Amino acid sequence: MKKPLLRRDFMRATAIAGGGMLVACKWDSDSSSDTPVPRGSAADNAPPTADPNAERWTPNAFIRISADNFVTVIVGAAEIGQGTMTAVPMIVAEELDADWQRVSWEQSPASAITYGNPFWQGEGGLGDLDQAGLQITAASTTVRGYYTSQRRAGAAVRQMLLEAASDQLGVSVESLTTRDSFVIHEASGTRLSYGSLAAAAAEKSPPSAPALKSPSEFRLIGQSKQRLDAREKTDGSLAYGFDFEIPDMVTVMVIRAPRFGAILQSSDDSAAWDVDGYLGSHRVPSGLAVVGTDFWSVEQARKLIQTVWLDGSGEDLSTSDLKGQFDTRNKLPGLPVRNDGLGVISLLDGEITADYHFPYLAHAPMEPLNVTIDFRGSECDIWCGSQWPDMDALVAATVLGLPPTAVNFHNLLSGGGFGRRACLGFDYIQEAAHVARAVNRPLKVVWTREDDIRGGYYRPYTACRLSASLAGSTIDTWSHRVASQTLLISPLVEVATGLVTEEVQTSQGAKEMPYAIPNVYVDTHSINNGVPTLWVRSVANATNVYAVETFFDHLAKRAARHPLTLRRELLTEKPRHLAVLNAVAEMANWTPQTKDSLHRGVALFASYESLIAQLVEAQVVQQNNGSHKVTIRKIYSAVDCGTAVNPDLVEAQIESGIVFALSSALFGEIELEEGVVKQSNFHDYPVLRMYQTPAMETRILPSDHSPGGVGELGVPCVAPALANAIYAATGELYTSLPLNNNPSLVFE
Amino acid sequence: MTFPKPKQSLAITVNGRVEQAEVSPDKPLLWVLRDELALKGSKYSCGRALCGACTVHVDGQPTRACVTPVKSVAGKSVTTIEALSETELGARVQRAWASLNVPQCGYCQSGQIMAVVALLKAIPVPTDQQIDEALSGNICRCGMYPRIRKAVHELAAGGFA
Repeated sequence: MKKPLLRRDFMRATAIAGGGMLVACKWDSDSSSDTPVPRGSAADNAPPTADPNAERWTPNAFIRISADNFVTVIVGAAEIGQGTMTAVPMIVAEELDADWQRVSWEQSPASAITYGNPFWQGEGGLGDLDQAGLQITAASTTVRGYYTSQRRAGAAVRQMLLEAASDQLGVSVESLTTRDSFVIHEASGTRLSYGSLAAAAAEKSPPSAPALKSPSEFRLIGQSKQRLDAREKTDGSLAYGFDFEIPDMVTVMVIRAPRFGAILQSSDDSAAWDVDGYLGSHRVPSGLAVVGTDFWSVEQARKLIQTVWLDGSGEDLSTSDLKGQFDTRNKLPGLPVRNDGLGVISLLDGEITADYHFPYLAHAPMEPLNVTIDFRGSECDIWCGSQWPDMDALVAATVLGLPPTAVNFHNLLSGGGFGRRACLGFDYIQEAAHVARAVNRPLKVVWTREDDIRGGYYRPYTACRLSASLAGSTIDTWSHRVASQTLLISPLVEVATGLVTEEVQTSQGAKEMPYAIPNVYVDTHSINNGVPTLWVRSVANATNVYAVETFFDHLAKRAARHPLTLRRELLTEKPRHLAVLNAVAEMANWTPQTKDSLHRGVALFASYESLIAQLVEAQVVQQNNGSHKVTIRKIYSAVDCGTAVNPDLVEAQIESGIVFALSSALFGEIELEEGVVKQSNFHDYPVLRMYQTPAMETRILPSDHSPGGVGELGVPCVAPALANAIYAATGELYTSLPLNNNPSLVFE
Repeated sequence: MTFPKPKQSLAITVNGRVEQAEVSPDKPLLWVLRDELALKGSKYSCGRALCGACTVHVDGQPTRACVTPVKSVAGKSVTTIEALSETELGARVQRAWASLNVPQCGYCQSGQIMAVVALLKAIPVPTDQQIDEALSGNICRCGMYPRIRKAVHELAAGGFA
């Protein structure tokens, strides 16, 4: 439950050399606190840092206006491809009435206190940290989390600029307007640039409750704008972590355990010394750190090093055994997370039951993990693309034995993340810190693609048991049991402290099953083994929504109902759900009366304060050998994400989600044989390619609601909509992913 | 086991400049570009010619630099993303990418753009099937394939001039 926000905005502005201004704003519960101004370094244009002596000073948004009339928005959230560095500046620029052609972005330093996402305020149970929120870019929270605070910051600065102009011109504030980074006095035709007013505006006290625009006054929000980071992403000039260099840096790869958790017994690097550029190896907790002058030297040397791992150490499970293990657990009651009506009677299986199975998945972002680290004994600088920079910095400080203030974490734009760069195990950052202690010189730890695919932190293996009973032509009881490897940070600690008492992650999408069924029961099993797991884009929604939406079509068929009709009937109390469902059916021109050679399947889902319905149109043709050839013709999406700040980037995120989802629906699978990961690179862990990508059409429904998240929204419905389209042709319920494992299906 | 051979002095032409590199002849072109010549625009992602993020042009042909021994390009002309905006077609492709919001994380886009420029040089107006054939070697994990396809069609129609 989110706590209501009782705090109010509080701002401080300061003049910077050359005539500009720098603005910090914060949430604070104590409006009377006389807090110092944050210190900005105008000389090097670096963002300011909060005064450590100011206990309640927790600024969470920064704007810089330079004398030459440029506005820079310093963004706390990470850019992992989703458009943060465009959407957040748009929100600020809207209320500021800034000239969009003269707005740029800058990544903030790592600091939850300063730059945390207000979405997470009060969520962490972490005392003072809660005042600011966590600086984690996850759960599709960037736009919805920063939206209000960034708008208020822009509006307050605009008000200060108006007051400064009023002083200078000797006219009333009411006689002034703003447009495109100018204050305008219509009566005299005078125009003053924000840059020229900034120094004087910095002397004004910021309004505590600046007036915000009504949506009808928006000039930027709701417009499709080009990404602000497009140029450096098309001319090769953007330095990702993999490209980042510091003087005298060496390169490190780690030989990690062949089985998760195995302990290194001994190593022999005598052959590696023949490699030009090899500089030696060091034992670290995760394995053996191989050091060299550059990537290729280290890669060659690593192949020549023999390692021996302690017998019997390490997880030795085989994924082929998990189906039986998880199914056995699912025959027993779990921890209940939802119980409607007489839902508990569903503890006995209903008349229709299905067991679902979902494999481990790797994130496989295009940029493999890497950490550049310069540890100098009493302080440390780290450069890394991270979705959780404040915690990564804290964890590094702990490993290095430094106070958190001695670690400067420079967050870089990431070549994809999908959750891997917000790691609950903090594996790559801990490892890099250990390597830095061992090697004692500036270095970059790089992961090869093989390291990435075999490195764990997979979407957990999951089994779902769904069971239902019909009453006449509708559904009377519904139960959904999830057995999954836990995604609680530490189940014992969390349950003990009462912070988390249920599987909030692995029950996602099961607990929120949207249909009006009188008796519903959802429970979960937390399973632990030695395979490290982590959230992957849309987390358990991807698996649970697959089970919910395919089982629904199965029940509809048993009840002799059309899947559209039964959904509509069971969503009458949910107008926003109904609206996306009806919109997507209309886009595809699909009605219960449609009779043609195509097959269609639909699925819908709501989370992140957004809703989506997706419809797959496919051709399913039976072959001579009885198998079915499936050609996906088109995927339609109808989206209600509240206010779409940048509709084209929303659409891009939905398209992105579809491709991500098809990769896992069709062939995504990580398998282990006696603990050893079978897959290693894109040949045996395939992801969707151009020729496999169907046509797509996305419609964003108009809405005045505040923005919802869209980064994960496009993922969960794709696989069930596809399976439902195939079900419509074959009548077969496909209870496991990836679908390509099914010998009776051939995908074109 | 492959041992690196002793370093040799090799002359390769990169972006119109003759570069003299003291390298093992087996060293992949990608690492010569990135680590010897400080051209970091060509990306590492798979190391096995599976994803296309390292795509450069060798005598105009799209080539996976991560598996191309540097000795094999001696005497040939290598073009990387860094020089692309100097050509009219390259600049148009980059404008199309910005205009249509093609990049998301952007990490694959150097390779995508190099592959697209090579395609449009060889086939000025490609069909969907020709686009599939030319670009399916380039993975975009953010899934921007529909936008890449759209951009190619609009470029073929003379857009972004």
